Amino acid sequence: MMRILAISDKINLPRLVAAAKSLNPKELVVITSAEANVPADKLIIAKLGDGLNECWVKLVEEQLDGYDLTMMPSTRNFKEIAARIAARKEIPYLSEVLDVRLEEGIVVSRMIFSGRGIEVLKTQLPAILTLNLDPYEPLEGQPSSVEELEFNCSPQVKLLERREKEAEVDLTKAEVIVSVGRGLKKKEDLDIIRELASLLGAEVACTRPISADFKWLPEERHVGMTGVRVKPKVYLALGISGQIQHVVGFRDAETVVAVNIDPEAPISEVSDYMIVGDLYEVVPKLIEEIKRRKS
Amino acid sequence: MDIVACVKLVYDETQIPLSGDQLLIEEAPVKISDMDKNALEEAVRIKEEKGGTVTVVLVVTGPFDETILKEALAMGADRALIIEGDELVGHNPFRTAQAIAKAIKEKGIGYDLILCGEGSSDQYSCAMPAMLAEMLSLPVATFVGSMEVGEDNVIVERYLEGGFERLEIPLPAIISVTSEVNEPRIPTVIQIMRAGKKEKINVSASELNLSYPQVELVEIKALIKERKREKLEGDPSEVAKKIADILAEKGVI
Repeated sequence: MMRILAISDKINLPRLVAAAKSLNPKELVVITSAEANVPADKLIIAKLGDGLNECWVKLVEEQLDGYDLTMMPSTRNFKEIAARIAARKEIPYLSEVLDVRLEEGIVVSRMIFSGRGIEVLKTQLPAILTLNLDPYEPLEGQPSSVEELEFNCSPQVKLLERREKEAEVDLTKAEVIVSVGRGLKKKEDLDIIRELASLLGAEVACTRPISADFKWLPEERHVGMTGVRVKPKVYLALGISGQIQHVVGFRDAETVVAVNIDPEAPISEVSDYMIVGDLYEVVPKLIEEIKRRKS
Repeated sequence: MDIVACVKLVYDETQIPLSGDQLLIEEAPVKISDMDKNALEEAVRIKEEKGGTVTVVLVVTGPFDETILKEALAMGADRALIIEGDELVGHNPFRTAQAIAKAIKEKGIGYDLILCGEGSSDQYSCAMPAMLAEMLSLPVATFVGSMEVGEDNVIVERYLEGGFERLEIPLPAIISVTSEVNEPRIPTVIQIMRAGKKEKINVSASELNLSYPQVELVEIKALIKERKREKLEGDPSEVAKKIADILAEKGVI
């Protein structure tokens, strides 16, 4: 029977606890930075000053001994923290884990090659994992005990500023997504895309070039390997060629409808319906058709 | 300023052929891992502005292709340190980081700054830079989307899921960069040809006494999502009606 240490920020904690509980640990201890309502045997609220990664690393390093498994969410911060602790402790670390099972050590699966494949890896305990928490439902409940922990840390790195993104949207919750790629010729043309989206009650999303290179849309609307992974009922892909770094982002969409001028574009292989046509002709007609049906 | 840029060569994941549920990985061409190119580009830009040297460090954990290595050197690096050996093959960021840490010590490669990509195009563990920092006892900033190098420090902006974090880090340090940090240059054919003459230092893994936690690869499978893959053709009004039908069927309109 295992002892598990779960370390998380506030947002990811209820789903991380669900992941930890699914392994039926004998004991589950949670370290987080704020009060939380999760069914752990012990909840440790760490007071970490600026909460820099360096301080998390030092804190967890001190707490880790005696646990079989240490679990964290696969966020960018925790991927750094987990890797650093694994290096200090010289124990195995596996990242972005999709699925974990116990079997003389642990067996995990994780995505590779931008989502083209899954690899199954096996290693011994103790180990550290960062998990992709999408498959887990948040778990709430009373911790059996709560403890506060003051942790003094003088980091080498100095925090100058933190800025939150103007979080206007959470694409992971969108039911319908209208997404554009490089088939869109200029920023102003987003107007018709937005009109279509608003008729459908959809969110607008894009491929990486549209957000990162052209900056026509904010990064939080970028669907893909290094962007957001979405699971809408309908994903409407307009002028998107279908590069795999993008495709992995909408893998879990129920239905994918693509409009692309090139019948051979790779998007045709990964969509349910591929409309061969120019989005500049099809989208206005689609807007007309939807308006007609709504009236 | 002396800069080390860590580079991984990988099979181009966009060109891996499929056979049933198997990926024919070794049939794909080799490339420089995408974000390692950004790291190398950033290293060369800093050198161009401030002087110094750029050393490309390459751990051969999978494929190796001399031409691709030349391409990396042609981007503006001065020399390459190549670490090879059977025991390095496979997914083990701890082992890769240890090989780099030990090899640059062994060969006396000096550095003020070590740059890496945020993660590799094949495994995307994002672990190696942070582990290397621990092994060299250096401060680290990961997922850096913009950076400004000063005399004895570097100001970075980390790109995180919910926002940005600006940090000041004393040099020497390790930075892992995201693709937003720059647009990598494409070397000319002449630059690639000339790069063949640049210094190459070879290190065998067996010289390094590596010791690391073992991770065993059980299997690799293709990740296939079944789609209907129906092609709809017709004039714009016709196909618009068909799309509307699909949307209605899904309860969207």
